[in-house]
Amino acid sequence: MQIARAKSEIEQLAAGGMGVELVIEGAQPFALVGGVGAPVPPWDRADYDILVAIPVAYDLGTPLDGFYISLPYRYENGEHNRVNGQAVSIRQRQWRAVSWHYPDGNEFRRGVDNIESHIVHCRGFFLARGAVNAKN
Amino acid sequence: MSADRVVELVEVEKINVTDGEGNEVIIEETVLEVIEEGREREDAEVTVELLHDPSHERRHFRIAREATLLEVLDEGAKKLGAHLLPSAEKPLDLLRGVYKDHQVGEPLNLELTLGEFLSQEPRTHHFAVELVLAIRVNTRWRVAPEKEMTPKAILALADLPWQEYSLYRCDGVEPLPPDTPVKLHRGEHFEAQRDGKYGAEGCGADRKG
Repeated sequence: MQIARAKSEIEQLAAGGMGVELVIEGAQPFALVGGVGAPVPPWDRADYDILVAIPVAYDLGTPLDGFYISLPYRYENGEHNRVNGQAVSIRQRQWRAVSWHYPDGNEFRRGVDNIESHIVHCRGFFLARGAVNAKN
Repeated sequence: MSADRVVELVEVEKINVTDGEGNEVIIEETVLEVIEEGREREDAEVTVELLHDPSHERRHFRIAREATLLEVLDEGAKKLGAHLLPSAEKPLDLLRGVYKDHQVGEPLNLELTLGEFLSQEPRTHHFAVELVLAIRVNTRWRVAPEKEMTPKAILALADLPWQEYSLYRCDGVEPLPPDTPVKLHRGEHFEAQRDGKYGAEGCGADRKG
């Protein structure tokens, strides 16, 4: 597992006051981020916990992509049609993958992007912010 | 029997201010220290004011000579009703000495103790707290060089390429126009985001690296 850089980034973010910790489930590491802000309404709470899968070769340049939202959640009193991916159980909690990615030609770029910037990218989902190529 | 006391003149300063009716007034401020004779002073009286505060409102307090100038800065800011950014432990804010004729010196080394500083010439017990225009982009704190900056310049300040990132006010939904200057406030929080799209391959958990 090549994630020393991810560990270091998470430690720095945590030291700076962000609620983030490294969780390793089986062979898969995640950044568990607490308190990602969301507007109420349409969301049913002001902040959510999310999971960001850390590629096992993150240090070698494999990019971050997407995230998981903690369940349950409500969006406009129902479900968000982009919370439609794989469901996983991590730390005895249920999570579901969100189809929120980097646009073509503007992907996660090693050396510029990192876990910090990816968390902000994920927060953009809750705000419907910067959603290019949206298919709502 | 109480110990003999000695009154030591620390500082006399004349300050030009304008009163409420527009008249120029000279205020003479004297700082005295009262110490017990024969006893080594463990603390010192200091005066602080905010840099560029036209009222020259000041606060006086005693603080241990062993305290660092960082602690003087933190305590001084609190006395002046301010708090340091981004934190009291690692502030971007500055402490400067105020010398004769209200000449303000260069930013001080905050690792020095007050005692070390007071042993140097020119000597002063009078400090100015400089609250810088600290802004935050994501988790990155920076000192803004201007009161108004374009989002492009703010992103560059945060070492993020404006060609790839959009800048938003915290909780804002619409990106700030990249070339339109934004008026900045101390402590303001922006978010720089690589924008996103719905619908693509599965999440990274499926990856094997």
